[in-house]
Amino acid sequence: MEFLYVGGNNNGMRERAEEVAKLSGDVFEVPLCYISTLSPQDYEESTTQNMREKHYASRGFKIEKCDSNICSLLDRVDTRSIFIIDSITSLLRNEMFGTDEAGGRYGESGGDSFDVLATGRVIEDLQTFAQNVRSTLYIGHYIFSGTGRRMDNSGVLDRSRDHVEYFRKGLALVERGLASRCDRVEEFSYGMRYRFK
Amino acid sequence: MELIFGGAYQGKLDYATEKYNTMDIYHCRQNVSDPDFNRAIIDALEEFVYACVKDGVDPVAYLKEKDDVISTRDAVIVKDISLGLTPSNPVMREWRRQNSLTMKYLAQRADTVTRVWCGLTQKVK
Repeated sequence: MEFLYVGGNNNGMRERAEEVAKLSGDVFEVPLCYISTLSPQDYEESTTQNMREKHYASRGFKIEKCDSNICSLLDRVDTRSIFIIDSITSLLRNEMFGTDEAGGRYGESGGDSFDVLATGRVIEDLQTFAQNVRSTLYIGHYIFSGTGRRMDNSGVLDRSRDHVEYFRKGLALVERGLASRCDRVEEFSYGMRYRFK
Repeated sequence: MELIFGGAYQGKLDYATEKYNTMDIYHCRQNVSDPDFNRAIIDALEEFVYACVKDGVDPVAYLKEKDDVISTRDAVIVKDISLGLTPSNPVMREWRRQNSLTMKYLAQRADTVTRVWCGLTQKVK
């Protein structure tokens, strides 16, 4: 089974995913696995990641770090597990703006050097991963209701300037694909949830 | 008329064209504040609102004048832009404000209001 939880930052998706995974793990007596996709860029992110990993480890989850190519995990995890992927937002960020040949991050200079194929790759990878494991709970973020950057008059993005819009569009495509095929889809708003299916 | 709203890239137009089985669509443009709304589906109304803000036109007053046209369309699609960071640009701030006022007005006039989220729908009215 696949579950998708989407909402604003710290709106309750993680708590819900943990609750559902723990309950299912107890009922079916299968292992639990927390996949951290965050690739920390500063001290704050690093601290957050450590805190989350400690929390999930204390709750009986095996911890895996994977900031890109999520299918590479299939060789080393117990595929009977229930997986929490936290989060598809940072997974796409890493794939789209990962390190370039020189070791710097794509797109940081404001140039057009980011990976436009990342979205398609993440969609395929997540599908392959889900097909090879028992259950997956995805955590994603909703970042689509701001003004964003304006496109030109024909609705076209400028590749040299609109990195964030490319990312928003990519994340929307990933989340729409997941929402379409997941068995359960819930939106989170300040701890409250709305079940779409 | 059905008001369809949601964030960017959520599948609003896909939902409308599938439901009403038509490609008779007017795509609003950011430099046209006096558009031809005589199509089954009016898409990207937020672009019309942006054009109004730039041209000093009140979009709600304009839509009230054209109520007989607007209220007989199959669907009007508006992007919800009200939930992000406050824009630093005053034009963008006014656009955001006017877009919300326009959505409120259309929600009152609409027979049905539907929110599209990750390609899924939620009936609001």
